Amino acid sequence: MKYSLFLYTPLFLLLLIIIILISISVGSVNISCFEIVDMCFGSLKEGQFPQSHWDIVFRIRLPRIFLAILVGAGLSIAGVAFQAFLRNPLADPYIVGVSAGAAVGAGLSFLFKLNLLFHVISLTPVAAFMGALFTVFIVYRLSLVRGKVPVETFLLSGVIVGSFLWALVSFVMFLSREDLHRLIFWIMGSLAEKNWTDVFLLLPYLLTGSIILWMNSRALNVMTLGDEASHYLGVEVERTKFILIIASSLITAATVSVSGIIGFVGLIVPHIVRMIFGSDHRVVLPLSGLVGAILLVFSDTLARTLLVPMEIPVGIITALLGAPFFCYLLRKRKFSFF
Amino acid sequence: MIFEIENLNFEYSSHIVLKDLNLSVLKGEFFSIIGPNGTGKSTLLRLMAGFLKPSRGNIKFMGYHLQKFNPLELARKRAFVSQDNFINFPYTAYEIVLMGRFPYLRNFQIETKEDHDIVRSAMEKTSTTHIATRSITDLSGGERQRVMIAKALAQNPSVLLLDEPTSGLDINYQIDIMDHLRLLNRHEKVTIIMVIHDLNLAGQYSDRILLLSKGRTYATGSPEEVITEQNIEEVFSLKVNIDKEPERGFPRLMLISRVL
Repeated sequence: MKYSLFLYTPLFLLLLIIIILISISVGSVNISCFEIVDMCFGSLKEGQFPQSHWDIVFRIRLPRIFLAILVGAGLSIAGVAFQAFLRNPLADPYIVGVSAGAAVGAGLSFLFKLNLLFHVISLTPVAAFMGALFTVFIVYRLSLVRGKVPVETFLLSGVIVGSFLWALVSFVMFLSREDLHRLIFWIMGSLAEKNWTDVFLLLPYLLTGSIILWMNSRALNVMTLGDEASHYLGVEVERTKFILIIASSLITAATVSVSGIIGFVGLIVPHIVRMIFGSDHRVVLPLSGLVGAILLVFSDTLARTLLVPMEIPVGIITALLGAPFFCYLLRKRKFSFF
Repeated sequence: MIFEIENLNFEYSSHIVLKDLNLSVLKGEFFSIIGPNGTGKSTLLRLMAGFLKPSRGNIKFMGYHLQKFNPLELARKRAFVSQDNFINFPYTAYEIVLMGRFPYLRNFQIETKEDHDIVRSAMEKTSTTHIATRSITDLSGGERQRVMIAKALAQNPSVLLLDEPTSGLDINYQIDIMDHLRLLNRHEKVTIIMVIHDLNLAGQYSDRILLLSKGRTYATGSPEEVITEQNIEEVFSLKVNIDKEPERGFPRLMLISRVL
C-alpha cells in the first residue's frame, strides 16, 4: 500500500519528464531534446542557439506545459476527493455545478466586454472563479439541513443548480452573438495562449487545496464508508466534509478559471489509479495528481500538433483517449476478477 | 456501570420516538433490545452511540455525560456495527479493518506494528483472516458482517453496539456471528448491546433484555422474565407458544399462524 507510493512516484515522475521533453520539442518548430537540455543547464551560451528557439521554449511551450501539469493534477485530485466524500463513482470535479458557475461568470465577462478591459487585463478568469465559488456556496447552503449536509442532498442540489446555470449560459450565449464562438471555445477548454502569470496565479490555490486534501486522506478513506460510520470511527463528519468541499472546490474553481472546462480528466484518472493501486487515498491522491498531469500534458501536446496550424480543444482529446483506455481497464479487470 | 440513562426523550420533527426511558447497562453484560418495528430500538442504540442527541434527559457513559466526549475519545471506547454495510469502494477486508485504528492515529502517522497486530488479532477473533486480501465488494453478507465486527474490534472498544447483526444471514451465519460475539463478551470482557429481532437468539445469548413498546420500556430483566407469552402477545399483538429449552432452560418461542 504505502510501498506503491515510494515505488511508483519516481517512475511516474520520470515518465512525466520524458513527456515534457517531447512536448517541448514538437510543434510548428521542432527543437531537438538535446538542445533543450543544453538550454536548461546552460552549457550553451547565448547566441549559440537561435533566440527564437529560446522564446518558443521558455515563453510559449514551457508555461503551457506547466499549466497542463497543474490543471491535470488539480482536476484529478479534486475528482478523487469528490468521488470519495460523495461516495459516488460518477462524480467529477464539475458535478456540483462548479463548471456551470464558472461558465456563467465567463459568459458575463464576454457579454460586458470585461475580457478586454484596459486592453491589457482580461477579467474573464476572475469572473469565472467568482462564479464557480459562488455556485458552491449556494449549493452548500441549499443542502444544509439542521446543521448537516447529507451528501445525497448536496449532490442533487449541485446537479439542479448546475442545470439552471447551464440554461443561463445558453441565454448569455444567445445574447452575446458576436462573442459566441469565444464562449463556446472557452467552454470546450483550452490551454492555448497562456503565460507564466497564469501558472503562478493557479499554483497557490492548487497547492493549498491539495495539501489540505492530502492531510485529510485518512479521513477521506473513512468517509467512503458513510457519514454515520465515519462518526463512529471518530471523524467530525460535518466539519471534515466542509473542509473537503472548500478545498476541492477551490482547486476546481481555480483550474476552470484559467483553462475553461476540460472534461473527463477528473472523472477517469481517479478510477484508473484506484483500479491499479487500490483505494487508500494516501496513495490515490498523489498518484492521481501525477497521472492526471501526465495525461493532460500528453493530450495537450496532441491537441496542438495533430492538425497544425489548427488547435483541437484539449477536452476532445482527453475524452477520445481516456474513454477507450478506461473501457480497456474495465474489461480487463472484469475478466481477472470473475 | 457502562450506561446510565435517565428520563431519555427523543423527538424527531415533533414525532415522539422515545419517551421517559430509564435504563442501566452493567460492565460486561450481554444486553439485547427487542420490540416491534418502529418502537425506537435503533434510535435508542444511536443515542447511546452519541450519533443522535437526546431531546431531553441524560445519558451517562462510563460515569460521564455522553456529550462531554469528543468523537475521537468516543471512538476509542465504543464501536458500532450497523445493519447496512454497503461499501462501493473496492477496499480489501484488511484495509477496512485497519480503518478501525483511525481514532488512534494522527494525520500523517503510518500504522505501527502494534496497529497491524491488533488488526490481525481482530480478524482472527472474527474468523476473517482467510479473506483479508479479498475486496469487500466481493464478500458475502455474512463475511462482510464479520469484517465489520473486526473493524469495530480494532477500535479496542469497551462497548460494542450492534444493530441487528444477524439480519439477512442464513442460520449457520447467524449462530456463527452470535457465538463470536458471545466469546468476545466472555473472554475479552467486551460489553455487548444489540438490537435484535430474533427472540430465540435474544433469549439464548442475552444476560438481560429490554422490551420496548411504542418508545417506552415495557419490561427489563432476564430472558425468562421478559420473553413470556403474556408480554409478547401484549407488545407484538401476536399469539405465541413459549416453553423452556430442556437442556439450558432459556425461553423457546414458537410462532403460530393467525389463519391456519
